[in-house]
Amino acid sequence: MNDERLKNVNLVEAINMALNYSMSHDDSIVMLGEDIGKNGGVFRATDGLQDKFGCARIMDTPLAETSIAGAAVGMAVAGLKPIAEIQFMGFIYATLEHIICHAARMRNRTRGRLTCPMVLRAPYGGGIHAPEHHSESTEALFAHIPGLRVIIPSSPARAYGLLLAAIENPDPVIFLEPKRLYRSEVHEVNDNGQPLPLDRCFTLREGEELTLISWGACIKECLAVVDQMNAESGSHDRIELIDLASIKPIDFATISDSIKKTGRCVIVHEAAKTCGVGAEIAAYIAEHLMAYCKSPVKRVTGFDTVMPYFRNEQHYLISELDIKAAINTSLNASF
Amino acid sequence: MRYFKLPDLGEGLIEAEIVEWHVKAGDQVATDQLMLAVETAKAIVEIPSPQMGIIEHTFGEIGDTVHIGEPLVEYQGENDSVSVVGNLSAQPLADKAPEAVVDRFTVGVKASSIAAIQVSPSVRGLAGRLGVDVGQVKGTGEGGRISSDDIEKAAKMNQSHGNSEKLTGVRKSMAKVMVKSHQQVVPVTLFADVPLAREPSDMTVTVAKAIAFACAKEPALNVWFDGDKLSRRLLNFVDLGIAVDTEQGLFVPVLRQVQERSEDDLKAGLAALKDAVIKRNIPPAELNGATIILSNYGSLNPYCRYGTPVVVPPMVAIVGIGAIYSIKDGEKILPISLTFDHRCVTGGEASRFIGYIAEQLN
Amino acid sequence: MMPHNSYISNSSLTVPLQYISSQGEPLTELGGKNELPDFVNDKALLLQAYRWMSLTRAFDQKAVALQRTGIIGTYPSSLGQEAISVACGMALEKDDVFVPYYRDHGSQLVRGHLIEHLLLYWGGDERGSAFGPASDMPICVPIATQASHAVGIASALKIQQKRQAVLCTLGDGASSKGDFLEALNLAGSWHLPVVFVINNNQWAISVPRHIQSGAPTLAQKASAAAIPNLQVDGNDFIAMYEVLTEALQRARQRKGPMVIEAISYRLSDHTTADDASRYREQDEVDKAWKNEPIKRLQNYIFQRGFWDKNAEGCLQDDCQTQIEKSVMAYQRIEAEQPEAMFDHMYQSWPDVMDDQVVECGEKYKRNFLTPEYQYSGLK
Repeated sequence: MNDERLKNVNLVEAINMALNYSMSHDDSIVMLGEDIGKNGGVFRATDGLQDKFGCARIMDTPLAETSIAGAAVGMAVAGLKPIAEIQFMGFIYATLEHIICHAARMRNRTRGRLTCPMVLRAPYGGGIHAPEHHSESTEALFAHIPGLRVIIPSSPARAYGLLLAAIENPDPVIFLEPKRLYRSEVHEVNDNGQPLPLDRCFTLREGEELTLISWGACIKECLAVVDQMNAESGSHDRIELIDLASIKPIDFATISDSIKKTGRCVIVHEAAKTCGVGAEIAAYIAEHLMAYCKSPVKRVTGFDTVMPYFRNEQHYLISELDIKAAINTSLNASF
Repeated sequence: MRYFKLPDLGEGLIEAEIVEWHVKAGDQVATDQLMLAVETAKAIVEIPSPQMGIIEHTFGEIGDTVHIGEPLVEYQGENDSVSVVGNLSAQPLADKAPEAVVDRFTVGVKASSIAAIQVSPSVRGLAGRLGVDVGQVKGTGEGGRISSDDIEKAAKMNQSHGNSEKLTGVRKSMAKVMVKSHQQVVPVTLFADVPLAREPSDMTVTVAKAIAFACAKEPALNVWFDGDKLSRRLLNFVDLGIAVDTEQGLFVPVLRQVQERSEDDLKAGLAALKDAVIKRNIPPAELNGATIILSNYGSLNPYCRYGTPVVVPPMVAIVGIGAIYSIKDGEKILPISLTFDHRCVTGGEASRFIGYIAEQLN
Repeated sequence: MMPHNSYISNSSLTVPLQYISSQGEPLTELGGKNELPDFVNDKALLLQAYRWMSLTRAFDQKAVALQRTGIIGTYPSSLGQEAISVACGMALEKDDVFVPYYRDHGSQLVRGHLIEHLLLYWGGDERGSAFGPASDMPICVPIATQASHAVGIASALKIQQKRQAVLCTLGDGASSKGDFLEALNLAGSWHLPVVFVINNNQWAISVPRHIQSGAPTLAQKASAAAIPNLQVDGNDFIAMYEVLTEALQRARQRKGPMVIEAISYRLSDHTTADDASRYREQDEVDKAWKNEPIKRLQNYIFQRGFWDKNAEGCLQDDCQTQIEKSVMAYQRIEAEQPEAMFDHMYQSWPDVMDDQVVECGEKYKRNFLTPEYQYSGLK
């Protein structure tokens, strides 16, 4: 292993690394978005890339999300591998027509003659004291659409590996980056171009009494709670923590194995409760794993409200105490 | 933020002159701590730090004119604001580059050794109400699934025959060890009545020394035997496992290097081990690695003489001693039961072994 | 008098309308053709405009300082664009409908918003959008979507046979969005009483005007919808006010929509979280300062004898006093209760989801009412 490739990076730097690696090795990869060129992206995800790869491959677009998505569809169909950046998930809705009507269906409606290997990246989630509309978590919208893949990384290493995989993947991938984690931690990542598998979960901690499933920025609070509870528990680690990572398709095999072992499940997501992705997991458990459950599935989610504007956002965002309370309830509950 | 720039101080003025610095590079500042004083056309204004941090660099000397928007202070450790919206800095500032945290994860999940119990929620509920532990119930359904009938049968059984108690701790491990032994070992027990020259003060310790002597003379009984690979390791030291009976069950702490220790030393060592067992703070290491075991079941009951103690692999022998009894002429006899694993030890070796023990005791 | 033929001619062939120079001198004195409009003799009007512009700038700079010290959140400064927003505010009649984007602080002040309520909004509290003229739209963050709303409102006014007009503001970046082009199309097709003002401050975050569009002017995008359009020097209050009053008058008279491209310059960063030095040169900004609107109008009213140093001093003091009072008033406003997030999702929160309100209260207790919780930094 080449040690020079080991770098200590935060999540947004890992994204930059993955973009840099993939663009260095495949000329058909291009990027388009607002402020991604000279400015390097409003979160610096594309810092330095235009200098390295030029304006023809890193394109600053006019302010127009609909055509960013539409142009990306066209580029992908014509043989490029476009990575389109939408500045915030709050502005992604203008892309829905192209993503749903075209990107997700191109392969299907042409019976494979045409495909759409594009990636749509956007920072997502709240907790950074942002203006209105800048804290969205509506991954469920995309997860519902057949033909799409939806990926949400939760660490620098996973962001690196998953983004490489998303770019290589021949299907359209929505890649949502939890902005609250962009600079929260630094991990060692090997810039070796190794992709991680898409459509698999990641087990972050093993445990025997309860399966905690989450994704995105909530993983940070989940890890803190799980590490604390497992340290206190003595003879064995109690809580197993799974990072869903692939929101669509969901790796139910891993979830299944885990719940057969533990018999209890708590799902945590920042997004609103009704029809959130947690509901899909809970439904699967009800359909296939009821016999292994020692207590009902519990969901810890956002309320069915708009996330409060930042002065009151802490009353919506999920805290460590909220997660811990749900875990304790589940551990003590029975049928 | 990395750079703090001169904010507008009001009054429509666009510049100010630096009058005094209260901080310098390297200083740690708190939020709102006054950093410098500037003079505008009208007044001297104190400028506070907008954040906690360590000053990397200050810009401008006393007497310099600074315009609105020009940098005054650079903070350590922070990149530029990195966002056109919001506040991304979740970390408190460190005084050096943030250390990399280890990120451990595996793809998918590891298969578990814990057997999954299948029982539907309603049946679980029933079990709860009837006081039945589902972990104790054998399911008769497909794949071992537990049905409500199973629960009801178990409840009846509990009522008529008392609750089933799950084995834990040393009882649980004893059950497992004995099964394994039974499956592998080919046991033969030799019984001997050994006359004692005198009754020792501590039977266990005296026999321990005798066993060590016998092991030196007949090493075939002091080995570790690998039944799969059919190999044996002749050991040149005697770590003697001593069976200790407690409320929780059977413990077998190990007296190390018996061959070179005095009886007094062994007595003290044995007392310490027993104490640790009773206090339940014996380290797991002290229960491992025995080369041969001594079980003094005679010390518990004056009528017990002979037994067929169980050999625990990878050992090949276990010495059991019963209660001392007297014969007509007053001679004291110690009954010894030696079980050996006939896969690895011959009758002759075992017989001679007992002989050497007897020699020491006589 | 605004040249009428610029209504329908291709605005790329004309020079942006301007009456006073960067130094505040009437162009007629410098050989220009355009006679200044009559209202320049209305001292009260000019002083009112000048006061609003000064207050806007003072507020704006205070808001930036408040963000720097953590009292409000991310804030988009309007530095250098005060003439546009104040002219809009003053040209609107009370019952007209104002549809802003997010850089119209001057217009909002003229429309009657209190400074403490603007601070409430930028300080992260939804109640900030609950005040001001009853029919005005709130600040709009998703770019250019307000253009479609403006068209809808204008349609309603027409259907209801009201005589008011709609004024919609947007930036140069917004002019690239589908919403804007679709709104123009609809406004032209339905002949609606709406005036669009494009604040072309040359920058959409880091994207400069020449990348935003290949068209020589942004105003001419309206030509495709047969909407009269023109460019104006956005830093010339006199030009802006004339154009806006006439455009809105025209709309009220049901003579149709109009697009005004106000040429200006964004003297500040995009927001307080942006760092424009990453993508533009300081001497470009320094040059732009020479055209800034407040100095220009100040020079003009000085020359006309309407203003003097004394008055200027008093005005600056008044502005500061007013702002300080407002900041204190803002800081006295306590945050809403946690359950407030459920108050206005529907007219009344559905019973079947009451468990969430209960949960919200429990969450609050769990996180903020424990003995361990000592953090007093949250308001």
